[in-house]
Amino acid sequence: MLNISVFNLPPIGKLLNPYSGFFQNGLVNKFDEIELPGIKDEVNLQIDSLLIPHIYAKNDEDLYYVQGYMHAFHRLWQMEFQIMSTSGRLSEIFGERALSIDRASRRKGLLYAAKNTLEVSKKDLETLKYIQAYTNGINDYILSCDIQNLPIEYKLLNYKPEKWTILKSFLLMEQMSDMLSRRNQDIEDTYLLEILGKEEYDFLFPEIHQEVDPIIPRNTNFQFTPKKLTRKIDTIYPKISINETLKKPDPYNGSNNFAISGKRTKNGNPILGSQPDLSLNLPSIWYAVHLNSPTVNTMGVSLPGAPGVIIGFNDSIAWGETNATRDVVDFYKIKFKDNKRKEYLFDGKWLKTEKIIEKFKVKNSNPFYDTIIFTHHGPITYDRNFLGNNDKVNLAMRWIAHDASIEYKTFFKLNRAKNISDIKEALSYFDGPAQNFAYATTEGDIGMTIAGKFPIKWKEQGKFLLDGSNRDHEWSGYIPFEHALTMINPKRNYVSSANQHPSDKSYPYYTYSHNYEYYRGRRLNERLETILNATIEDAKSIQNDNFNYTAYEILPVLLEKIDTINFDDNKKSYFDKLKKWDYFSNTKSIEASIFETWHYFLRKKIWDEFDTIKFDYRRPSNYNTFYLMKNFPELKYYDIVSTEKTENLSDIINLSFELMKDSIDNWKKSNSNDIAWKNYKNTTIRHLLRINDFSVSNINIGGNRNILNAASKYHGPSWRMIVELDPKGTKAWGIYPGGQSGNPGNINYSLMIKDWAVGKYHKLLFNNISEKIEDQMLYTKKFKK
Amino acid sequence: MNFLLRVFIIFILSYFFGIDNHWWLIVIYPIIIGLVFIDNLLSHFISGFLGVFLAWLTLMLQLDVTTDSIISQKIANILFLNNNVFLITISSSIGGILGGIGSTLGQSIRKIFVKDINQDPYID
Repeated sequence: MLNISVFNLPPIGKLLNPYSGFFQNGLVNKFDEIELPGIKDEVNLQIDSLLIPHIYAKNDEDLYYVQGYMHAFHRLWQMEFQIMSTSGRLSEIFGERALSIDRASRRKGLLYAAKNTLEVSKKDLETLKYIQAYTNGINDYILSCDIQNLPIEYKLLNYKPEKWTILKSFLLMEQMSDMLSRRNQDIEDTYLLEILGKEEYDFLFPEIHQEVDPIIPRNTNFQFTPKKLTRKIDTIYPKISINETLKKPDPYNGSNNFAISGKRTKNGNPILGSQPDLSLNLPSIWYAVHLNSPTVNTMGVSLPGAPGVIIGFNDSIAWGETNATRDVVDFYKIKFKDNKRKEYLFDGKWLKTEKIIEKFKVKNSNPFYDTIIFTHHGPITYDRNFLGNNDKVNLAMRWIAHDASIEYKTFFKLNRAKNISDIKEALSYFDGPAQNFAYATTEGDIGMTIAGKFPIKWKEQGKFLLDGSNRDHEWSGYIPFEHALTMINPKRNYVSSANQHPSDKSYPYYTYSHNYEYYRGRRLNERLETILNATIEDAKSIQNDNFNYTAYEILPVLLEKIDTINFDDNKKSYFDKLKKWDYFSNTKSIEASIFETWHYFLRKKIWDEFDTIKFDYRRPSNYNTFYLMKNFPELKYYDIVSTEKTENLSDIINLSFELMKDSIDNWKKSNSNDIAWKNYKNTTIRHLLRINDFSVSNINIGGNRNILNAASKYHGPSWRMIVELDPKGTKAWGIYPGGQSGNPGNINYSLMIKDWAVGKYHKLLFNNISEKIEDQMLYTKKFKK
Repeated sequence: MNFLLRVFIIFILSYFFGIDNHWWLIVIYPIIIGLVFIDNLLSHFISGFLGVFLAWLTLMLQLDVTTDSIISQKIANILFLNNNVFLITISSSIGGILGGIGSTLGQSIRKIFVKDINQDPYID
C-alpha cells in the first residue's frame, strides 16, 4: 500500500520506557484486559488456540459490538491506519513525504464516496443499527486501552488512536473498491490507440481469445431481453496524453473460487472452495471470527473495520468471492468556460461546478490546501494542480465506487441466508466492488453470480478517454440484477471463477476489462473436470496447485527454437532441465526459476519497441505475446531496435536464453548457489509499514501469478477456505498467512504462515451450541450486563 | 550505609511504582531521595543511577524472558542495535542517567534552600 520509509526517528524515551514502551507489546494475549461495558444482555465469549473469537450473543447489537471490540483488541492500529490511508490523511503521521499519496486518495473521491454511502445508509435503519453497535465496540476498546497496551506502531510513530465512526467503516469498503475495481487503462490506451492505430492496437491488445473458458460457459442461452442503449455510439475520443497517471492497484489482485455439486463429490455433500489472492501483508487483511446470535450462526473471515463475515459459511450455506475485474472507471475530458473553472460544457450548456477545498494537516509543517472541483461526472482528478500537464488537461473521474452502496446489507443477509433464494436476495443489494460469488447450500444447490453495479455501455465505451461535454458518452443506466450473469446447478455440476472473462459474446452486454486472466481459470476448470468423486483433499490440492500453465503452453515452442551447438555445460544443463520439466513450479523446482527469468527477458526483448515511445504505459499481455509468437513467425516486433541487425523470432529466443543464464549466474554470486524456486522467488509478507523486522521473508512456498497457488513475491492467497455442506453440520477448514493478533510481539502474529505455505489447513471450530466446543478453548468467559 | 539505602529505595520505588505516561517522570523518585539524604553530589549521582538502572534492567530482563525476546529482538534490529541485550542495557542506562541527574538535582536543591548545620566543610 505504501512505499515510504517509516521513521525519521521514533520517540526513543517513550519507546524504551519499560512501564509503557515496546516491552509491554511483548506480553502475550492479555485476555484479562477484555471488558465489554456496552453489552445489553449476556455474552459468552470464547477464544480458541488460533485466537479466533467465538461470540455467542443474545441479540445482534451485542454480537456486532463484541466483533468490533475484538477487531480493535487485536488489530486496532491496522484498522485505523487503513482508514487514514483511504481518507488521505497519512501526512498527519508521516509529514510531507506522504502528501502526494494523500492528494491522490482525495482526488480519487474515496471520502466523497463514503459520505455518499453514509447519507443513503441513514434510510436503512437496521443496517445502520448494526454498524453503530460495531462502532461502539471499537470505541469502548479504544477508551479502555491504556498507553501500555497501545499497538507498537503507535509507539514507533508517536501518535494515538482516534474515535471510530460509522463513516470509517464505509471508508473501509471504499478501500476495498480502490483495491479491486479501480484498475483501468483509459488514459494509457488512448495514447496507445493514437500512436499504434486501431488495427495494430487491436492486434496487440485484443479483448478476448478463443481459448478463454469464461466463468459462465460459452454459448449460454440468456432468457431475457436486454435493456436498450439510450446513448448513441460515438467513437470520437479526446486525444490526450499525460506524463504520469495515478498509481494503480496491483494487477494480480485476483482469486479463485469454486463449488462442486454433491453429484461430483465422494460423500454426496457439496464442497465450496474460496481463495482470494491479494497483497500479502502483516497484519493480515483478514480476521477470522465466529458469530452466533438467535438470528445468525456464521463463521469465516471478516475485515478489521467492517462488521459481519465477508467470506465464510453458516449452518446452511457457504460462499466465497473473486474479483469480477470489469471496467467500471471512466475518465471524461472537461472543458471549462474560463480560468475560474466555475462552469463546464455539457450537451451544449454551461453547467456549474462545485468546489471543495481539501485541507491536509501535515506533521511538522503548515497545512496544505487542495481545491478539488466536482462535475456531475465526478471529481476532477487530473487538472492544473495535479498531474494535469499544466492545465492542458482536465479529467473527471466516473467510478461506480463513487455511488452510494451499502455492501454491508449484502453480507448481513448472506450471513443469515438459508437457501438459494436468500442468497439471491442478499446479492441483489451488492453494488460493488463487483465480485464473482460462488455458493453452495446444504440443500445440495450450487451457484455462481457476478454481482455488482455495472453500467450499460456501447462497445468500447470507456475503453478510452470520453468526452465530458457529449451526452452520448455518458453511461446508459445500469444492468438490472435480473440480467446479472448467474448460473445455478449447471449440468457440469460445478461452478468456478478465477478472474477470467465473465462470458462470451452470447451475453448481450459489453463486459470489457483489460485485465482478465487467461491461465488460472482454464487450469481450475480442467482440474474440476477430471475429479469425479471429489473429497476435501482434492479441494485442498486444487487450491495449492502449482501447475505452470504458461510454461506448459509456451516452453516447448521456445525450446524447439534453441540452438544448442555452442552450449557450454552450464547452459546445456539448464536446457536439459527445462526439457524434462513437468511444469510444476514447486518450492524446489530449479526449472521454474530458469523459465521465469527467461520469460522476463524474452518479453523485454520482444516489446523493446515500447521503450522508444514517449510513454511506456503498458505492453501486451503474456497470453497475447505467446499467441503472437505461436501464430505469427514473422513480426516486426521481433527485431531489436537498438541493433543494426534485423533479428527474427529465434534470434530473440536464443538471445534471451543467454541473458537468462547471465542473470542467474549473477544471482548465484550475490545470493546462493541454490536457485530453487522458493529462494529465487522469495515470497515475502510485508508489514504495512514495510518494516523488515515485522515482515516475514523467504517463505517456503511454490506457485506464482497465473498459477492457482498464486503466491508471487509480495502477493498471493490471502485466505484459503474449504467448506463441506453436510446437512448434519457444516464442516470447514481454513488458513491465512498471518495470525489473529496484529502485534509483532505476539507469537500468534505470524503463526499460521508456515502451515499456509505448505498447504496445511486448520479445522475451523464451528458449532451452534457454545458448550460443544468449549473444552477446546484457550479462554472462555460469560459477560453479564 | 546511606548509599546502599538510597540505591535500595530508588530501586524499590522504580520497580514497583513505574510511571507509564511520561517516561522521564521516573526522575521524581531520585529527586526525592536527593532532597532527603545528605551526601556529596557524585555519590548521589551514582546511587541515583544504580537505583533506576537496576530497576529497569530487572524489569526488562523479566519481561524479555516471559516474552521469549520476540519484541526486544525486533526493536533492537529496528534501532540498528542488532542485539536485544545491548538494547536492554542501553535502555536501562537511559533510566540510570535520568536517576543520577535526579538525585544530584535533589541534593543541589536541598543545598540551595536548606541550610545544613551538619554539613561537612570539606565536601563540596
